[in-house]
Amino acid sequence: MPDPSPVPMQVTQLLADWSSGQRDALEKLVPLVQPELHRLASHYMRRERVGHTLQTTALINEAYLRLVDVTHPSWHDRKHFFAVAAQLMRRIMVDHARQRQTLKRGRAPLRVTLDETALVTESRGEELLALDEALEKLAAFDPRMSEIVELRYFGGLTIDETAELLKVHPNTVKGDWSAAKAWLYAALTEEGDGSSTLATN
Amino acid sequence: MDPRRWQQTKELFQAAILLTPGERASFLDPFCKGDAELRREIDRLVEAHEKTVHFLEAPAFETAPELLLEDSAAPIDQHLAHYRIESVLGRGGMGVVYLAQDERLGRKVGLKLLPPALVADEAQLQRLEREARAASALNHPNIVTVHEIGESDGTRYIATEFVDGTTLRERIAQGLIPPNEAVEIALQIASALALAHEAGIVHRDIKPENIMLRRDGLVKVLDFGIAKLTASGPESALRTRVGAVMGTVAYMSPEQARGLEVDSRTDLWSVGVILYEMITGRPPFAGPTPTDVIISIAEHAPAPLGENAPATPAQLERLVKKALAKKPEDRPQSAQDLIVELKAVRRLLETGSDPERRGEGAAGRGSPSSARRLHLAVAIVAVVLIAGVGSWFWLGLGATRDSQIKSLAVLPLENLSGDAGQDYFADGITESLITDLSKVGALRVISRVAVTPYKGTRKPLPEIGRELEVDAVLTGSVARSEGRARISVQLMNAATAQNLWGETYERDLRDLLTLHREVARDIVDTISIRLTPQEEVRFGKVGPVNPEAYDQYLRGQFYLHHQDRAGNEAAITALERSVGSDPTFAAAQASLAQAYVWKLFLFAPRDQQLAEKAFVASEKALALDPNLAEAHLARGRLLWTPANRFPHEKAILEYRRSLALNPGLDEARNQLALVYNHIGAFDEALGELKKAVATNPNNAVAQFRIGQTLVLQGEYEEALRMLRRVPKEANPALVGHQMAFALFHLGRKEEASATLEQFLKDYPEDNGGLFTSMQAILAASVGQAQIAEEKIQSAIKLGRGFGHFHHTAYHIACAYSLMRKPDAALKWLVAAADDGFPCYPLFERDPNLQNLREDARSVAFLEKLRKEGESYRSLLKAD
Repeated sequence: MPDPSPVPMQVTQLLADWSSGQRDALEKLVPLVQPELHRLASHYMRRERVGHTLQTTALINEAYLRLVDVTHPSWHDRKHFFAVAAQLMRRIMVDHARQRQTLKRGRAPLRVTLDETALVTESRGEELLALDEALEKLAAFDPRMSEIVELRYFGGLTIDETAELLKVHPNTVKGDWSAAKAWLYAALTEEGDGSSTLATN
Repeated sequence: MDPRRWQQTKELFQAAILLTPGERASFLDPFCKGDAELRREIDRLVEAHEKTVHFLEAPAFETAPELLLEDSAAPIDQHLAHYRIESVLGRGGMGVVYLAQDERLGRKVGLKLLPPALVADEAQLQRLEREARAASALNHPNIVTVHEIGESDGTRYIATEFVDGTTLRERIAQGLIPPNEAVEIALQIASALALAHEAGIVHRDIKPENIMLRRDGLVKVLDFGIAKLTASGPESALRTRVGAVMGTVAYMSPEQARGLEVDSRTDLWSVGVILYEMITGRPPFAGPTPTDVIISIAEHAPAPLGENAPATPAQLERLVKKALAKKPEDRPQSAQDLIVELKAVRRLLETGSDPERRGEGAAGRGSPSSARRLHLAVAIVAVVLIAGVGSWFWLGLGATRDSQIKSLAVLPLENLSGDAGQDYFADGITESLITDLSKVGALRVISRVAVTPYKGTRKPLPEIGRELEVDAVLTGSVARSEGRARISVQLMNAATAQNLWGETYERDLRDLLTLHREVARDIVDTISIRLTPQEEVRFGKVGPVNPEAYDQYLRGQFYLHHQDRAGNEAAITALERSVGSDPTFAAAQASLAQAYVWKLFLFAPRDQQLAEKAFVASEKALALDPNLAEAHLARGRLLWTPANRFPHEKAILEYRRSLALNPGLDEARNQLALVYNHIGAFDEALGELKKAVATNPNNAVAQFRIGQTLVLQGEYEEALRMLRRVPKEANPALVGHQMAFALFHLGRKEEASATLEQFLKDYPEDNGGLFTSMQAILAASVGQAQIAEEKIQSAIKLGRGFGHFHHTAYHIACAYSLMRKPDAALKWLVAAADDGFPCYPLFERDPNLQNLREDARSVAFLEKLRKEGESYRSLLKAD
């Protein structure tokens, strides 16, 4: 049985568990946080169509306000939520991309389609999977760098925010960020054609 | 990579990129002296760095937001296991539900993919899967069938029955639902819940999105046992969707919203919420945020129904209020309780009298009628829309719905191929249709034999209807070419010749088995017959067929009913070929068993090898599909033999099982009645025989056996009338035997004697000495003891080695009794009873045995038989 307390209390407790080192807390957070992220994502995408820009931090901040019981005694650090949210964003998006890959595998050749967005989406998904794998490798020899990428790329945090969260100097973050990008880019393009849609904005 | 070496690489890289390209070499050279590998790595990173100005700078969500959406672009045309995804059906409790083609079984399914992130916890997943599997065993017309729970390349999926209809959510969005319709929908939901709860399965996520409404009014509840995959507790409060924000939380019970332990009564609460929403168009508990809704659920009483829907009968208002009791113990305690209350409300709505109805003023009365008008308008629009599509004929349907179709004749479908050699194909499809439809208990379907004479008939429909005594007639045609079959059918009202419905189906030959069931199913749906759960199961199970095996099967079926030697052999040949090309074809195995059985009984009674083959075929068929009525019939017939000493109970159970599976199988009724007659259950026998004649007015065996049963009951005059009417196809020897018996008992001994002599002249072999032993009775009754004794000895000689000898033994007992030889009489009566004819009610009544009733040992024996007979009675009652 899941924890019978209301969602915000559960989320808050799980965040506290996670920041105190309980790794499995993250697994339990996924089903609680994911629906909110889904909902917010569609909300933001609709707003984007009417001229707003998509903002990862705004999305996570809103999820935070909805999901976390800010009065909880063991939880008064909003930054931790961003750290968790960045991981969750990575998990959810990568899982999603993987699911598409699964569905594609049974099909013979890639469909020729005039719908360019579909193609872009598919290649984005593929690249995201490759990035995820490369990040895993990176984490093996430089965990902080991997974490910085997670916070920046999936969590949408700035250099300064990342530095604050990791309690390091912004220059350290900046340097690691450059090295990580270079290493990842090299890793991702080694056998490819040298281009990547992850670079587009 | 070694972390320490990486730190060195990284530091050099970070320094290098701050320099101009010209400065880099002189900076790096001293550090990389003698370590070309290090230099190469740094160069590689620097080179990459120059291309990464934009790389990863835009966060993932901002470049690929669709990957964070609940549903991605639909994977149309993609494959998962043996499913090809065709389109998005809707968005359910688990993300997107797709319409997919099951390419293995050639059927459409609803396919749900479980997002990996939702099922990350393996142990939890296994538990949920167990529950989903338990739920998938639920067979109920109001529960969507789960075909398969599977995994392919790491993706878990659930394939369910495809329901062609709309969700209750969509229906509610269209406008208010009239109370009678709302109650009917709630009733069907409660009916589904009753079965699930009995099986210990609580749905936990009953909401309009999980309720499908089929066009024919059948309600289907989705996601039994699956709902929990995503809705296990309050977190589902946040599983909201585009356009259905906070959809789930509104249907939660107070205990669920509080995250407490829930039981089946949580589902009853949800039905209450749905009822409320159907009637008023708004949910009883609402609020701007999920928290507000939860507080409302836990704390507030909803606005009375009458406030939003003044026409609501007070009894319905009370029912909803009770379902929405905050404490589970104040609600109806079971789905069954809820059903009882809903039915009471339905009755009230049907009669239209609500003694307690509020608002006696004009406004109060005006509302329901305008609601009805709206409902009617919707119905008319629906009919117009449907009539516009394809070849649907809905004319006059309203009229027939009132006068319910309860009986149907499927006239032989016309063979449109222009090749008489293809007749068997059209006949085979006709028969398959009849067989499928016969399985519906609520429908009387005329048997194939009875409709055969109408092949190519030009008789007016009402005349055919009168002759076969049916409400409706199905006519049509079949054509076959190059691996495809095309079937056109029209359903007509027999009395008015009005066209009720028509459709043309075209399919691959491999899908024939699916096709005739589909046609049968559509007919059943059209005439609004509600199938029992068991019938639903029988209509559901269909696999693809091997066209060659199926073709031979149809040929076999065609000849199976030609009960002559050549026809029987042709049937056996075709069916042996059919199971040869597809040994797993259960229906062909069953038919083959039947063909063997007929051969065994009609043409080769002593062929042990044949008996063995028949046994193997029937057991194979039942191993492949235990629900084959024909195989149970064959098994019963093979069981009930002299060699097995006529195991009456076993045979009765087989025939009853056969009839439960296919009430239209009149041959099984003949056989069941035969067994009943042997144990003296005459009324039960007559009941079966009358049903057999109703499904097949030409069932000569049943007509003969009615006469036989009347003789056994002592209704001789009536028996004679029946026997004289028996069509000549029935075994004339058997008919003559019964007639002689009736005549004898009516005191018309000379006529009886003449009849016997005539038959003995026509059939001098006198199998089993039946006629000769009758002659002994005649002689004994007029005091010709010596002749009687001679006839007895002659009958014994004739009967030697004849299996079905117990009737002769009984005759001999009668003769000896008349000859006042109680010892001999008792000996033969015991032999008759022990040998499968323990017919106590006959023995007790038969005047021929009068003399035995003064013999103490005979009295004791009859008493023993009577007690044994009681055990049969209890078996008969356990129906």
